[in-house]
Amino acid sequence: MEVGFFFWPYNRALVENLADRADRCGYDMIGIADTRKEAVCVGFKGGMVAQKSKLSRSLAGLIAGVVCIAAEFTAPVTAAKLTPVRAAYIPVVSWLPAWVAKEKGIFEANGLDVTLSVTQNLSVLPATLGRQFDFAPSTPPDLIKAVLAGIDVVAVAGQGIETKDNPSTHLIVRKDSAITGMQDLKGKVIAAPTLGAIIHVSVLHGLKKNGIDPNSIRAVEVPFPNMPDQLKAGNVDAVEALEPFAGQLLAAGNRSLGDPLLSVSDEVLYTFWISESKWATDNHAVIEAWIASLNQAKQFMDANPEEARAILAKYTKLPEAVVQKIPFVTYRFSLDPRDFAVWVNVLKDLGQITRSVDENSLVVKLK
Amino acid sequence: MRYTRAWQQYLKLSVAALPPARGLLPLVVLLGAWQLLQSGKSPYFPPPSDWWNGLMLLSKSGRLYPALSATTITLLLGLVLAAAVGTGVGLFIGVFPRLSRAIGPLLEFLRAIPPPAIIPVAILFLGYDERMKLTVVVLAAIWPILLNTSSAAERVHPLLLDVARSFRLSAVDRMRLIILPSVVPAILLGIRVALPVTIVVTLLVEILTSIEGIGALMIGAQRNFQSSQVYGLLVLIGLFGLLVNNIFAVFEAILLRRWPPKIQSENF
Repeated sequence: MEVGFFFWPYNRALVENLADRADRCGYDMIGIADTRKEAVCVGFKGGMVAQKSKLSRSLAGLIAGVVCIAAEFTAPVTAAKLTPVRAAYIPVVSWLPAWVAKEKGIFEANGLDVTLSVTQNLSVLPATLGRQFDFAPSTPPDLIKAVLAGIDVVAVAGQGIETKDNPSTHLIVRKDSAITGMQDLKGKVIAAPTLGAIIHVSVLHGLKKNGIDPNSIRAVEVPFPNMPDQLKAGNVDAVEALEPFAGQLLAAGNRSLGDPLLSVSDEVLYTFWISESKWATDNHAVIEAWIASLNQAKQFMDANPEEARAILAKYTKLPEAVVQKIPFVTYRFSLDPRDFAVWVNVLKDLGQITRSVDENSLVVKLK
Repeated sequence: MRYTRAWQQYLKLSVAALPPARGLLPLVVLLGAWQLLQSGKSPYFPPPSDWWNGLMLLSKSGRLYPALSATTITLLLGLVLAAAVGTGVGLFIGVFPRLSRAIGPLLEFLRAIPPPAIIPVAILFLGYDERMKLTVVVLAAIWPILLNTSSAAERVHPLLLDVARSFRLSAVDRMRLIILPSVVPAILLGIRVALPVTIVVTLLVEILTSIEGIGALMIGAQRNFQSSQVYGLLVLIGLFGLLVNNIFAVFEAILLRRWPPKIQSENF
């Protein structure tokens, strides 16, 4: 696109500035004139005529500014079109590959222009898909309950899995506590980050497996940062903590009763991305680009752990010393419907859902 | 015998004086329209019939009544405590204006702290139990009662205080016979204003900490995407608030039946 305009600059510096900007935006500056007598036609970086009128000065600046901004938005034909994608994330280490992909331009290399927005609680996110977000973080119980409630969402890409070799979640008690295992938790107060979410569901499942009635414990909601204080004050008997809080609690001498998620299975699906079903059906290419970006980001993280940690610090806003100690989660970006079937059974067993859901309907079919 | 009958008459009169139920008609019309316009199931805007089903589900699973009783107990206890403490402190600072000037700024500071901000601190000191809930509720509900009481105590008519001096009443008698009766209507007004605050803060504490109560049920239903239950609980709370308000209005009318009409200072 070419735009020609005439204006009345007042000094050489301004003209050169404008010429430079026009050139950068891919425009030719084709005319500058003060009076017809002094009109100068220039091809590139042209000459100028001095004009000291205040009005023309500001007018010139205004026009040039507007044109240059317009130029940058109607992008020159040389740049490829990127698909805009809006994604939410929670500021915990599980979502690091997305941040790395954004920071290192991996999304752009795969044709995606991603806007990341932070949220604190992923249970409200299924309702936002298709409106504010295209991709949102989720966990199996959350997705299953949303689908059963009639919200039209589907899992599109994997993110984190919990394995025996790399536990990221712990059920922690005070070091001087009389509780030695899950069987001692009868009648106790347990602090959960969100009732009904994956960590608490797995704790209830673990209790049931150990013969304790899940209704016999009292669960209260405590945000992660408050957990150490509440445990120390004795207001709660056990806390369900995630890294880095789990690491801090354990470093302070408290004991871990184990990883509650592993009571479901030795290798269990933990976090993944969801999208609106209709959007997912229409945008297979975007989803595949998303998964490819995450895989490449993971490779980058493996090759450059220090830089990955720097990005982790930036997005979680945690202090350096804490960030250094956070272990990376085990990532897997593909999804298997059977992993969801496990969770459907867990939820049904606990009575948190009354109907079953076909696990194949929970995952998008990409090919 | 005659006294009982008068009391019963008062009860009937005060109940009749309540705002009529037909005031709820716009709400009923809205719900009716919603029911008719909403065809099938919807995850975000379920029809009112679904709300009823949601509530029935909650009550059948045995969670509704314990939650309702927990919220009601906190509400009533909180109100009683707030009234007691608010009246006590209010009378104190109303009767001694120097005290009022001294601790006035501190009270304004405390009043400005929003209840949600107190909750994490209260949890740390008091744990996750009824005590913490009551503390936060009382701290939030105290202010209308305290301020109404103190301003009414300051404005006891000087003539009445002269009466106390003429009769050489002791301080206790002066409080009991002159000041307290003058202040009771203001206390009741303060409680009337504090009532919705108490309901709101009780629900707030329950929502933020998931301690047993209607608020905990609501946030649980929201997290499980059961919007019909959320709407049903909202209606329940609205009706509950209306009921408590009306009961209090009747109680106030009966209590104040012997009170003289408000004495305007100009008449003296």
